[in-house]
Amino acid sequence: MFSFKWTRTRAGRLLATLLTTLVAVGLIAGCSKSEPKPAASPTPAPAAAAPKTMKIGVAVSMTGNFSKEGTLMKQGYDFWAEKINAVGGIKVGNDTYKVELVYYDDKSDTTTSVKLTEKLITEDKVSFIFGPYSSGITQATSAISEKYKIITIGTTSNTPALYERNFKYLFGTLPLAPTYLHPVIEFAATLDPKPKTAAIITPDNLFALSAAEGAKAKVESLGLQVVLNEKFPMGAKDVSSLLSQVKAKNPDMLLVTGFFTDGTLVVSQLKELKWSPKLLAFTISASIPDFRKNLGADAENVFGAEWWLPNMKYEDKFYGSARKFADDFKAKYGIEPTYHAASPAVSGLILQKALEKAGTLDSDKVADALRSLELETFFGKIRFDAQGRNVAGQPGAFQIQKGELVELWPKDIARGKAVYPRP
Amino acid sequence: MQLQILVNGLLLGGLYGLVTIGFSLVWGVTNVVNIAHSSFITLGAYGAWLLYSRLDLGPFTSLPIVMAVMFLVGFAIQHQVINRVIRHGLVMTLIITFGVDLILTNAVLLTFSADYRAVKLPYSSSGLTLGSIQVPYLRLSIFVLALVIMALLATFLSRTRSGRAIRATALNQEAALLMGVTIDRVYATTYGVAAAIAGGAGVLMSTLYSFGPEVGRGFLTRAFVITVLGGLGSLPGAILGGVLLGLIEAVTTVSLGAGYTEVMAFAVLVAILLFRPQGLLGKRFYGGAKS
Repeated sequence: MFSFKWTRTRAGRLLATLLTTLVAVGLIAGCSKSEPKPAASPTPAPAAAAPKTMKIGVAVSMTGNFSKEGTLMKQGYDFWAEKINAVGGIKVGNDTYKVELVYYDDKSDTTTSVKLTEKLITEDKVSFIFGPYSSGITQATSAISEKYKIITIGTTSNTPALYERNFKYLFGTLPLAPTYLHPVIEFAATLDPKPKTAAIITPDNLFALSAAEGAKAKVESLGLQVVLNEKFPMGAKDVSSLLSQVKAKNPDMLLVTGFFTDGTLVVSQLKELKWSPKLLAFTISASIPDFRKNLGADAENVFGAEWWLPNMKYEDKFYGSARKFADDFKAKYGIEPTYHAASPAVSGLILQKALEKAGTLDSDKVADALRSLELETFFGKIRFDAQGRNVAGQPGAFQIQKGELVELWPKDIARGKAVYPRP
Repeated sequence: MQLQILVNGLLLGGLYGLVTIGFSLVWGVTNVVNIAHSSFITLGAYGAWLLYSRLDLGPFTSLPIVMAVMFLVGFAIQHQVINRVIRHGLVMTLIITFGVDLILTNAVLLTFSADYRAVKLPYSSSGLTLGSIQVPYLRLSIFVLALVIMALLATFLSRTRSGRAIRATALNQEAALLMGVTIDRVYATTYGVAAAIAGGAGVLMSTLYSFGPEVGRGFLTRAFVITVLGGLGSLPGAILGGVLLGLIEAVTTVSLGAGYTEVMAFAVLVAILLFRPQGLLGKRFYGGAKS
């Protein structure tokens, strides 16, 4: 059958064409199933005054290097969409709008995300854009939304450079990246004996470099000495040589401003080298549950900082307290939310408040409304400056103790004492 | 510290070599640049994780199982899919192996989700201590395995009938045909062997990294560079090239900074192509005698 002799006859050729067409159609149909469809927001049952629907576009990393973070973001957005649709939608002027989220997978790739953002705006005709994962990608996609005068609320995009372009339609929920490890460093300075030296390593990426710069500035401002400050390639599979250099300098603190895979790699390779600094701190990875799950006991006593943690003492009327949000989220998705989910969830709330205030979907009026908001949410305080930065937020530092995250700084959210130096 | 750096580089090179052997073999014998190679590594890693989490099998126990399964998978894919396209030239094989890679990677993503997995063993990060040098057990075993696989493969290629058929096909396809070698089966066997070795590398990698569905991808460019560096189709070349690249990367980290490792890898590629295009241990036109 596979030598295709039967195609030599007329009938054979006809049959072959038919089969090929069927297979092709089948494949396309099958592929379009996995092609992005609007997220499963509860379809409104025909209500008395048929509510309108507002489309919000999201190009987010569901595969690729950032798949973990991207999936958490999608869950956060979905969580908000379901909650808001359950209470009937958003009241904008005289209309009520149900929310429909349109998702595409940008595969953790900037170019893809840019194309998808353009598609969302021009083809799907979304009214607003919720940001993708990472500052690098958001920097590119926000340029597109700015061109089309569509508001982007960046939920995981906090590199300073994004907000220095005089954009009118970009807003970021997170405090700026350089402040990421500040609470850890500030906390470290209160320890006795105070650490004297620090090493900073960072993957070569917009966000990570920005966080590293901020950390370096803070370290030096508190009188500590930076003995090593190095970059390594994004997605590196081996940093043992770099870590050998760090070990040779023997700093009191090692700060790693990387992502999840970098964090786990560094911890296991430090263990292989049988050395640990007295204080080991990571951005991002330390708060993700898989970090503790995959590393087990090796994750103990690692420090991290986070924009938001479930036990921080913040609350609002829509979600309740941070703890309640976390519990509700966990009930739905089976995992504790991190800021990757919380920031998207709060962005929806922020958009809702702005829409209620503006009374219209018009981008300019909504942008003005956003800039006039001063909110207290389960995520923390929100207030945007003229460039779209959230100047009211600040991160908190924690340490992994017995598999739990224990907040340590700022003092008003502290829940315990530190274990230092790292045993 | 210098010695530790060299040890690091050596061990990393072992990993690189192991990953590259299969890739180089397939390229040398069948003239296919197998982009799906990285997904075989990924499948191996997930296979090891599955066997560990469901049946409590350690990586060294699951190694032969996974390798056997991967051989069958590779054989089937080559025979049914890639073989049909092979006569249409290099570009088509690139496209189709790319497609296979996408299918396999996304299948893994759908089945296992993007969550990071790891095979955490009690001896995961422990190792030998020789003076002030740390030699982690797992990385050492990967290095040893790379050498063992190379030896086994060399024996297979020179002492067994199938192995000799593979070499014959690589040297002169027409003559091999005249000698009664079934080219299709030779190609499929080669591919299957490569998939098995890649799967084996994946199994051991599952103990080193917290991995996701993309774990193999980072190794593809390295495999490419190392194949060219060591010589197309040459097994000792793959190992030697891998070790060399590992050492180069380690030394670069210390001298120029870790950010330059990728730059150096490709600088090496360019240099080799300029000065010794057949690679360090390769023979000119090995495997290129077909069109």
